[in-house]
Amino acid sequence: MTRLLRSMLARVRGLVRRDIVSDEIHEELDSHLRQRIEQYEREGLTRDEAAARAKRRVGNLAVHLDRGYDIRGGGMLETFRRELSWSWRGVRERRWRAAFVVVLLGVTLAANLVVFAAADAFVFRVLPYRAPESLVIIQRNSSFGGPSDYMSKGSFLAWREQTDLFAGLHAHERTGSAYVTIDGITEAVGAHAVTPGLFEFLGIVPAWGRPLQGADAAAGALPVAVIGERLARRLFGSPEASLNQSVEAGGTRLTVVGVMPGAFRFPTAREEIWRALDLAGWPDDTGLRHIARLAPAQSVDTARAAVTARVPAINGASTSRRDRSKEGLNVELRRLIDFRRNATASSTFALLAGAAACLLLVACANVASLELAGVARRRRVFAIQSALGASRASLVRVGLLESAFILTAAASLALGLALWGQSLLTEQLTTGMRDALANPIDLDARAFLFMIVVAGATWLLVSLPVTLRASRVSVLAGLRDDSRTMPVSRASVRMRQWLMTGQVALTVMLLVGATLYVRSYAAKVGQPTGLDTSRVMTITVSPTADRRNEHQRIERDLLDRLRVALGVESVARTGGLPPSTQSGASGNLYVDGRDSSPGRPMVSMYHVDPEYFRTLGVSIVRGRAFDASSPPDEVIVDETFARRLLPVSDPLGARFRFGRDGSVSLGGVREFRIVGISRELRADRKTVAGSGEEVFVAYMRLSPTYHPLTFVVKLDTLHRMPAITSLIRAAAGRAIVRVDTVDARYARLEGDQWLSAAVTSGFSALALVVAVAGVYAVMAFLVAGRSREIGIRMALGASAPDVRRLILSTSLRFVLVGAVAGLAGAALTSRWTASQLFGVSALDPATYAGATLLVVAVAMAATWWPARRASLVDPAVTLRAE
Amino acid sequence: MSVRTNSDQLHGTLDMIVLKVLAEGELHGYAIALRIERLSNDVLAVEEGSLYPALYRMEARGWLKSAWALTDTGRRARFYKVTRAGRAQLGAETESWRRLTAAVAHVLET
Repeated sequence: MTRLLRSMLARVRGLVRRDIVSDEIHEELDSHLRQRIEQYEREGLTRDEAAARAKRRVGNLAVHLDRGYDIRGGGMLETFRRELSWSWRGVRERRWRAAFVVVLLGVTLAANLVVFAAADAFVFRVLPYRAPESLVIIQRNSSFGGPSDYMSKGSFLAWREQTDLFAGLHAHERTGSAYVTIDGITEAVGAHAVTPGLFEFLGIVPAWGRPLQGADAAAGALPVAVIGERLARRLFGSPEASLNQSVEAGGTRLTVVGVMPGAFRFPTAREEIWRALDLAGWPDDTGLRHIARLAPAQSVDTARAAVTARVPAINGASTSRRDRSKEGLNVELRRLIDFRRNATASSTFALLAGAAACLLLVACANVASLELAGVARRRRVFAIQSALGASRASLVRVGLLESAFILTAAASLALGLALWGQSLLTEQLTTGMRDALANPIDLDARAFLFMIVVAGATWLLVSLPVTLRASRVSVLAGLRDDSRTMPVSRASVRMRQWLMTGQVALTVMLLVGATLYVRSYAAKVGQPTGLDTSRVMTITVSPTADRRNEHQRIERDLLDRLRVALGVESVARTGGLPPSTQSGASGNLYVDGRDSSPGRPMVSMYHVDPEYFRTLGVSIVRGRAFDASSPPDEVIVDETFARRLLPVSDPLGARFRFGRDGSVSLGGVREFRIVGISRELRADRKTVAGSGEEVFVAYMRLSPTYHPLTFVVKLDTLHRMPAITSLIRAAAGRAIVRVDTVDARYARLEGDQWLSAAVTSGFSALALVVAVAGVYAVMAFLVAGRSREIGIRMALGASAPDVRRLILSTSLRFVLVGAVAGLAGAALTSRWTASQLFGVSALDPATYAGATLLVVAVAMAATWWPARRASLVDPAVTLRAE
Repeated sequence: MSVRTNSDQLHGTLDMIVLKVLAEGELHGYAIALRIERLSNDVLAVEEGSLYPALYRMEARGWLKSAWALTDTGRRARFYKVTRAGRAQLGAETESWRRLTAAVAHVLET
């Protein structure tokens, strides 16, 4: 290894200062000669005699110099310079093909790089903290809202004592938002309280200033904060300038004492302000989130067993009633990495990474095929180079250098494209995906390393086999070829045909996948939602913390302005947007006085006002909607609710109890009376994320004291949105105003579907174009190479249609083999795609057939031109050329 | 009588001898030639055409290191030094040389 390095170093040194080597050798030999002369003089010879004898003794200096130069790397250097210039000429001779290959590989490498950057953040490197594998949480398994990392203050303190299990245990919790006004638009930045020492615990400390310290959490201490680099730059221009400035969060002015590096995320990308959590002053009845690191002696399994064994004692001693309940005991130790991993994002990006790899392979096969054609074209050049004394190794080096030039250009293009693609991708992420990201999606050192590895692999994959073929050139055969007949070796044709088959196979696979995703997305979007969302915009206003008690006044004011605004057909207030299981309040349902366990249906209660049904086009199929005088116990349920939960009794007028002990938003368990039944709401998955439990839908009246400041507005046209937005902004004052359309909100909920569909469609469209170009190139090449054979056939009586059929059937054979292989590949991968599909089977026959037909048809169309050209061969002309 | 070294014949032998001479301390090319002549009682005369290629080759293999310095007489010369790898090579070659000469001697004596 060091020898290789040394010889390369010698070459490079020689390249930069070519004369050094020969000067040094010259000086050394000269010094030797002079010493020899001096010696002879000392032995008594005259100066002239000594010189003559020494010269005789030493021999021909020029010959020694040459040999020394060769051995010291000078000779290799000459070769290297020659190879470099040959390979550069080789690149230039490719002309448009070089540009085509650079663009093709550049685009596909960029696609791989962008998908890798995302997959890296979601799948491979979920927690960018020190030793993430030893980070754990004690997960609480709640029937509401799924698993969480909350625990009571009492159990937190108790677990912190278990130093044999945990090397460290830190608490953190949201402390509201900071409202910052940048360029006149107010936005919210998440603020998070963390126990001091958390940064050091995670292994990432502020890049500017200092971390939070124990004293910062003490009661009466100066309130300080550490902020993120991005926020520091937006607010104060630079991280340095932000130190000792102040930001306001949750009504407190915080002095900035440190700035975390831009890539730091904790717990998600939303939080950019961290302040000290005062554990002593934390209310006993308020939960905390936590994060723990296993003691060095513990493995996840041993710690899990120990936690399970100690839970009864620790929870039993807790002052929290919840800790002591049956549900409170339902906790288990989990690796943080498993808890935080976003399953949807992981599977989406794992599959997208596979699709990107397929695309790259298609491109590689195409480029390899193109290179093979180039080799045939340049056989004379190789033969001449061989005749000039270039060794086979030298020809291989020239070939590899050529592709290294091309690949370097492609990689540079890919980096540029990836920078743009990555920001494009980030915008398309769903909110859920974004929140799961503890790791920014960026082109970091890992992405660069990936790029280098993939580009290197591509380089070897594409150029090595081709170059090895090319280097086996016969000088005589190569020089004999003249320009009238294209030299085509059978082996090279066969190899190109298999490469074409491979491209077809991968394209069929990609196309099947893309079609499935598109159909799944279409099924999702196209299904009847039970709503009329056209021309409905949504408005959410979040006043700053100091205006919390003015909600009612703001709501009144906004409603008054909206109702008279131009183009507004109706306005409704609602507790959550859009109508979805991810925004309602959930709780237990008791029908006829019984807890309906063990089925225990999840119910999403939407707080709405009487205008809601008209605004969103929810039709009432039985009974009536709310009116202004409806009492608060009236509810409207959807058809599924009535059919499934009240199958025997008449749902109209039926009573049920719903709620959850201690729930503030629902006001505990309350009794409701059904007054109307609405068309089934099928706007989203209607299952609890993760568990797949079904969720039922009911509407309850907005209580007079609840002012969520969320509106749905039916307009005569969506073109009025900007006007309405500025109206709201002007009226709301210093508040965060978000406007959107209901459709866009649904689209974001299904963003993962959209993302998969869009990305794989793009990939497969590209693959289709590339593969078709590949089929065309190979068949055209084949026809050119077989023109003599075709001429003989025609001379012997074959007609033009016969020749066309011959070419088409040759092509069809390889395309069909490719298509079958692609179908098999798609069927094999269906077990991974199945979980992401909605409303379409992963083995849907129509999709498979359609994709195959399309590829085969397009490939045949691409063969038509070469086939036609073949049939136009004039046997007289072809044979005269002999 | 002096035996002139021939690079083909005594390729490995010259390497071994040079390494041996250099094992005792750094020397420049001319001094190496002189030392070999002295140590062999003028039996071996090293040809410049063999010595320098051998030095460059051994340097390329990492057995020697070289640097420019001044000689006792104030002349600039390139001094060679044995590396750790070179010492290991010397050990191996000496060993195989001993076995070879012992075997040849054995054959001649019988």
